[in-house]
Amino acid sequence: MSAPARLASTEAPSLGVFGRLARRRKRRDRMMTAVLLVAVILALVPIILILIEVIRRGIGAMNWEFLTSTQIFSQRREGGGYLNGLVGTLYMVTIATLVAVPLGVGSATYVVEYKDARLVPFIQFFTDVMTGVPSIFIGLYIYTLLVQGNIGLSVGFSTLAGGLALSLLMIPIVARSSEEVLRLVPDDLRNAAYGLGARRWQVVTQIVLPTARSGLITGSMLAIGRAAGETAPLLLTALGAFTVVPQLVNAPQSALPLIIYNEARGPFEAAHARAWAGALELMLLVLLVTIVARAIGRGTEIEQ
Amino acid sequence: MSDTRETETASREIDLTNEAQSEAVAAGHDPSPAPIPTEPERPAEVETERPVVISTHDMEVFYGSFRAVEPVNMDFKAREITALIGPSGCGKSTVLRCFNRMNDLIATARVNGEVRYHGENIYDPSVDPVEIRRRVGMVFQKPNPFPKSIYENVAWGAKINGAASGKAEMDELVQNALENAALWDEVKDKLGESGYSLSGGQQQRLCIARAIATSPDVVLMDEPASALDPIATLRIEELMLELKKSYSIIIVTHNMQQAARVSDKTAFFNVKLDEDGMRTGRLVEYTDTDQLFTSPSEEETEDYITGRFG
Amino acid sequence: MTAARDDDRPLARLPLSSARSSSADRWFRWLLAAAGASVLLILATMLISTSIDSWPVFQKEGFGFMTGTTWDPGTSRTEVTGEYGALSFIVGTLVTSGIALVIAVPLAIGTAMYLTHVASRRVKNPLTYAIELLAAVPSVVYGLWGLLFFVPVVLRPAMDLIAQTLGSFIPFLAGPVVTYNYFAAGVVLSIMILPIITAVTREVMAKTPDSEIQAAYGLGATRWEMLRFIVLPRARPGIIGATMLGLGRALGETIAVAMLIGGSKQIPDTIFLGGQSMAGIIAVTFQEAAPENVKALIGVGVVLFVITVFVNMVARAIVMLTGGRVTGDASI
Repeated sequence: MSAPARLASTEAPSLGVFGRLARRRKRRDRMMTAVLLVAVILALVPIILILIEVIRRGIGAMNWEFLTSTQIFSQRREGGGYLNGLVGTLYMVTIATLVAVPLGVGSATYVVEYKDARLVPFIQFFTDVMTGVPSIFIGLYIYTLLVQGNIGLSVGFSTLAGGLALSLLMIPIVARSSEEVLRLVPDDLRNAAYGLGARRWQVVTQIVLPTARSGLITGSMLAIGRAAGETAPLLLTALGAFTVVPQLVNAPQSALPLIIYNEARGPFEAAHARAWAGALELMLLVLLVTIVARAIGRGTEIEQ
Repeated sequence: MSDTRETETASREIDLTNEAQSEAVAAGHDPSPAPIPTEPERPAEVETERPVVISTHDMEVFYGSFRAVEPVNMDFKAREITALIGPSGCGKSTVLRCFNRMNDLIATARVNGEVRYHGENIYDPSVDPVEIRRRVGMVFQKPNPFPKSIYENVAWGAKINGAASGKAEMDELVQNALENAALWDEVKDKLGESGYSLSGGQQQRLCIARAIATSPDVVLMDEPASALDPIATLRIEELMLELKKSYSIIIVTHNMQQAARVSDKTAFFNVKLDEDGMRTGRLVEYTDTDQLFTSPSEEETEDYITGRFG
Repeated sequence: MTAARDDDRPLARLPLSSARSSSADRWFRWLLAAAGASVLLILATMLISTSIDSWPVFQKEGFGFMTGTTWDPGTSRTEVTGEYGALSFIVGTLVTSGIALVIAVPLAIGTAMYLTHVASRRVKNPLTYAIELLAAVPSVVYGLWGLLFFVPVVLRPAMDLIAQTLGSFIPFLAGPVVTYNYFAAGVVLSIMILPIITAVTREVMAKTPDSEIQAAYGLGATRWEMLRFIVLPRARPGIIGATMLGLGRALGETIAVAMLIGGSKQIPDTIFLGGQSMAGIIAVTFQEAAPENVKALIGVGVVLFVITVFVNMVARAIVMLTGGRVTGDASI
């Protein structure tokens, strides 16, 4: 098909050679727009399907007993709940947050406020690398280090091991988002603070960090949401438990994702039903954290 | 315009004469009455009564190995407004930032020569820059209040320097600063509100209050009104004339009329371009404002103020 | 006016050394530097600790660890008695990730194009948000949903269909078909990596200079022509970077894949038969593994780590070269 040398106007409703080309191009444009629309629809279908199924099947099995009792020892039977998992998740995520947020925010503060330090490019690079580390590998690492006890001290499968594994997952997320937020604090404010005779630590802790506070919280909460949903590292560090476990060390701990994983893989209907309810519970937890995080972030942008 | 200036000059001299008298009495001898001048020029005796607060001695600024400002020798006296003017790139802001060692914050910046504050070289290695910055305050071009309440904005600088012990003292300090910055009446009922709730001109006055809350005796101002509308600008200029009674003020401005309105002395800086396009600043002329604008001694100065370039 | 003035006080108040509270400054800096350095320390010890632990297995198998297909763990507490060839798991990881990319990348490009240049402003934000919501779904929920609903109900019929039609002349698309296989894992994996590829592609496409777009329209181009000849070529390097980021994410994904890939230790002839991934074999067999088996699994982890980190580093390098670091939460 030879095309004429001149571009035809797409608005021209004319006949003849130019008209035919224009109509063809117009058709193709419409077709491709449809293709793009199909792509978007295909991209959206899964989230809709997931939400529908999780809500539908989860609601059915979720009841007061589910939320407040711990697991029964047989997957085959009905009854019991995932309370031990919920407690374990909250327990370990709290530990993870206590470790990851200071380290992540501290690292980001160093990178932004002391940006000419020699260590900074390395920290940035390796933080990026750390975001790509597979979560199961983090579990293996904590296993060799603390459960097996390569460095001499062993805590066994435990809440602490699980919490630390989750913290390693969170640190790069917190560090990256904190770095972005701290960069947004205008230099003007720092200059004004230095100009008043403040020392560096005063400028950073009393001016820069408070200004960035809402963004820092948002970033940390998004990391928390991510950690709450993790399964793989916990398989190797917390192991799982059937009861509520208050001990920090030397006792395996349960977690919501762990229970869901185990119950879903078995062949029992009762277990499957509970797993859907557990998934709903987990997603509500993650969604809650995500929504709160974004609300905090949107509500107070850094003012100019 | 010139009438106002003469009256101002006259009233300044009366103040100074009174002060000179009391100082002389304190020193133990009879003061000779200072003659009321018929010309706008200030008589020599009155000038020597005011101490030099900041003086520079062959002060140069380097960025790395590149010299950005050629040696500058200037004296700034107490309770006097000096304007630094010149085309863009002439280094006037850089020079200003030398006086409170803000250039220290730039990694490659280096200052040679001496800058003396009350006779002591502030660039001596044993000197703590933090102390300098408390005593030489700074106001920036764009108003930059902290994201804190109005009260906190003013109080913070004073607080970290340990200025007030206890709430009552701090309250008084904040009120004084806001009064001196001509802002108190407008904000006294809303001290707890955010600094950002104020208009641009008010924010700048808040920044001025913040700067004087640390009890400096010199206030540096880097184009303080260039981001403000004309009315707000006028208020800032009026405020400067008030502040002059207590502080020595050094202001960088690209607005010659502002310099003429407000300052006692003016320094004109010019920029030199070398082959690589790098700009070096140079102090061309530094004298009484009246003289600089009516009969400058350098041709460059005259070219600038008559608008032939810049 | 009651402003205090320091005229008369000389600078003798300045401490002769600046030791006053710049020690506070120094402590502060050290504290922050330690926080930053902890990242370096953790990564270094990660690699070291796991490599040391798995060394005996590497020593015994040599390169056979990565090229052998027999995975027959022993039960010794002290020696390495089993045979450990992890190739089938390596293949499993790579093939499922490949399937995921084949599905996700075109979808992501199309979606990104739509969101940046076709969608009206009203629709754009909710749509973007909805896609990013995919990233917030935990991996185990994807696994559960895939395992108990999506794969048996939606995918299985599709798999049968493909095997019967295309499978008759494309060998790796042929039957027999089991429900949980490479394909199932790959499809669900594609849903999981869609948000990050879309997010990065969107950012890259949004950077197309407006002047070029206007120039194209001014010459009478249709929207599709503008997208195809202006936006797409410029976005190509960024798309490559986005793809690699998605690949990195897919390689490391454990739970959903483990639940859907079938669990066979052999390399299947078709994507409709089951297999296992590197992360999967670790997740599934770890808890009952004997000490020597554990070492081997750690070795698998090391291999996975090296491959994944390498892919991620290259990906970020590409994305950085084509416009800034990867931002946003969907990207993490």
